[in-house]
This record gives sequence, C-alpha cells and structure tokens, in this order.
Amino acid sequence: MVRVIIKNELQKEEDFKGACQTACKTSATVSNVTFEPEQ
Amino acid sequence: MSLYSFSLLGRFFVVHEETGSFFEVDQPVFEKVQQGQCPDELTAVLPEQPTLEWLRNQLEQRPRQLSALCLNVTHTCNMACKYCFAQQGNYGGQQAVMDFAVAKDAVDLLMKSSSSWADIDFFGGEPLIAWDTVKQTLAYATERAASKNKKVRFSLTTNGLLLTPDKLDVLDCYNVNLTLSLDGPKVVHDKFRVDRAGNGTFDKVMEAFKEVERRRQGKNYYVRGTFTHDTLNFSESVAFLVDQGFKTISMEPVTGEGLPWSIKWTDLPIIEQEYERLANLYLMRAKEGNDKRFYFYHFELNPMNPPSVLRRFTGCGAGVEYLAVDPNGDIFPCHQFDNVLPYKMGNVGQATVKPQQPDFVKAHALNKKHCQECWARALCGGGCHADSFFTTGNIWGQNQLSCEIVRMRLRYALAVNAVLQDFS
Repeated sequence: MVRVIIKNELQKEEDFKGACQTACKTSATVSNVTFEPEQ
Repeated sequence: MSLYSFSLLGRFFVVHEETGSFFEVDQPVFEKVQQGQCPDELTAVLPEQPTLEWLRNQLEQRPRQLSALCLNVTHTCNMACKYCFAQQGNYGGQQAVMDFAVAKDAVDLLMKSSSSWADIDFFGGEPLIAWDTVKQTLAYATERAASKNKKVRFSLTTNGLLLTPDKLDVLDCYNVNLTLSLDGPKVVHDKFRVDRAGNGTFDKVMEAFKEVERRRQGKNYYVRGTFTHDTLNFSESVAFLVDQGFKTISMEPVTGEGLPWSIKWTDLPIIEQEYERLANLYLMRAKEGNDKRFYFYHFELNPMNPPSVLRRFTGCGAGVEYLAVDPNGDIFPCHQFDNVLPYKMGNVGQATVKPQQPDFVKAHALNKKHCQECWARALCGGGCHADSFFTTGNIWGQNQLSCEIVRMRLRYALAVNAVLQDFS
C-alpha cells in the first residue's frame, strides 16, 4: 500500500508569497524554514 | 533518486528526498525501501524530479524581487528576557526608536520593487514603544500600496506589555497579523520573560493576549513561545495555552552555543518525547472536531496545497526577498543580522541600495555541503542563515544540533499530516 500524503510540484504559478518569520523571532537563533500559508 | 523511510506513531512513511514529497506505506513497502529498493507501486506515484542544473539555475538566475521588509522600529525594549537574541532589544548598540521619516523611506524602497506583494513586519526591541511610527507607517504603506496596485500585508511581534485595547483597535483595522510572545504557564513564562526590574510579566500580558483571541477567534495571530534547556516540557506549555483558549501556537527552541539556557545535545531524547506528546495532543483535539482543534505552526504543512519544490529550496528569502531595516535606516539581510556590520546593505535614505546580498542568493541547500545528503533538504530549504552565522561564524556553516531538531520536528509534522487525513 502506498498513500500519497504530500506531492510537491516543481513550481507553481501562485506559490506562497512573502518570507516566513513567525518562528525565528523573539528568542535566540532558531533554524526554521516552514512556510506559512496565507490566512 | 533517494528515499528516506521512517516509522512514527505506529505507521510507516517514505520521503522522496529530491522533492520533499511524502507517502504513507505499509510494512512490506517500508521494508523494501529500507533495503534500498523502490517498489513499483511507489515508483508509480513519485513526482517529477528536478535536475540539479534546472533547480540551481532557477534559484540563482531567475529574477527575485524584494517583497518583505522587517522594520526594527525600536532598538529598545520594556522587557529584559534572558534568552533574547537582540540583547534585550538594543542589538548590542545604542537604544533607538525609528522616526516615521525613516519608516517612510523604507516603505518607499519596498514599493519600488516590482513584486505585486508587500509584507511589512514591525519588530524590535518592542515595536509598540514606537507606536506613533507604527501607526503612521500602517496608514502610509496602505495608501502607497493602493496607488501601486500592490497587496500589502502587515505583521507585528509584541511582548504584550503595551498592547492596549485602543492599539488593538488600530491593529485590527489594518488586519495586522500578531505574534504574541508567551512561553506557557506563569512558572515557565516568568523564568525568562521578565521586565527591566527582573519581575515576571505573565500576569501583565495575559489579559491583553486573551483579548486578541477573543476578538480574532484563532485567526490572524500566533502565540509564539520559546522553550529552553531549563524549560523543555513544551508540550505541557502548549496544552496550557490551548486550555487558555489560544488556537494558533508556535513553540521554538533556543539554540546557539555556550548559553546556559540553550538546548544541549543531551536534551534531544526529552525533546523527542515532547514532540510525541504534542503530536498526540494535536491529533486528539483535531479528532474531537473543529471547535476543539488548535493549530501548531510547524505541523501546518497544508498537504492539499503545498509550496512548490522551488519555493521550498528558496528558503526564508533573507537578503533577497526579505530585508530588515534598523531605527537609523540601515539595511541588513534579516532582523537577526541587525547591527552585524559586515552584512550592512546600505541605508533607506540612500539613492542606491544594494538590492541583494549575493552570498545569500547562493547559500541554499543545493550548495551547502552539509545539506547534500540530508533527507530533509527539500523541506527545510537549507536552514537559517543567522543560526549558521551565530554558531559557526559563517552563513555556510552548520549548527548540527539545530539540524537534528528540525529533522525531528519534520518527522512528527509529516506523520501528523498523514494521520490527519484519516479524519477528513
């Protein structure tokens, strides 16, 4: 059995915009690049 | 082609390393992948794989426009959090507050970009100390964006001490996404988040933060907590915040070298347990229905509409799409590089500003030696430049402990998203 959970296209016309900084503010350096979807 | 397999939450998973695509598999498929095989049923669903040449060319040659500015509107703070990377707000320099004239120049710089999108973030120090500048900038940027037919999005990080209802009225009016710094229960929060006299701030900020949730009902804000070597039980902190009614939460580790409160290698087994507990709490609440559910920043992978492979490898955009401006108008690749003078990129008052930091364009996961064999390279985008710089002295360096934490967190995020699909 194989179930696709996330399949990533190479590029998209409408990708998420902007940088992501929610995680890397406040405390000392953190290594994070998660992409925040538009709310 | 490279496949990474792991088992978590009683299930079996495979990651297609070149694209970050993610599959749940049964035990026979899992075992074949572990033996270095790629069963036909898995091959049939693998996505198109980019060539390294195509990807590198896209990352380094395609036009990339400035679309996000962090305005460090203050170099001062009304708190003195012990773990603060900005050295209690002044970034190791003089205390300062940004005049509106400087913010106006910064907005003009952003509006010159051909990007159809503009993100403006207010940061510091504590940005609400510069409230007049923030308020004027919100109005000015809104007007300028409209005249340039750009969509503008605002955000602001606050410790909450000055977040009064009248300020919140204005922030609501401009739809400003808020990052609220709150570490968990009083005993956890007050351990590090203290005022200038050294007193805990939990009681002073909770009322303001609850008012944000009351108005926004889980949207357009994040409660952003920090966990340390001394406060590792972050799953309990998240549970506490959920019980207090907060619905969108982020919890981050303090990394870095040589600080008593920074995460140590010996903390990893505890952190793994904490992510497991958090994953179970998250899934339990999600199963109970939308009114019980909360959102944890790192688990929100949006599997139905994920970022593209190219977007993931682009990383956070620091030094290219994203820049930071200090109170004097000096420009740096990101807020954490504020006052790191070798990386200064000019001043918003100058006619010409270096548009990009060339090293930051090239410092992506395809070019970083330590990312070459990492299974998570297409998911993490090569990590945080500031983390590399402040732990190794070089943006090309590796903070190995950070990488371990990111990989651990990604495994749980991926597994959680697989289980979530059973509920929908």
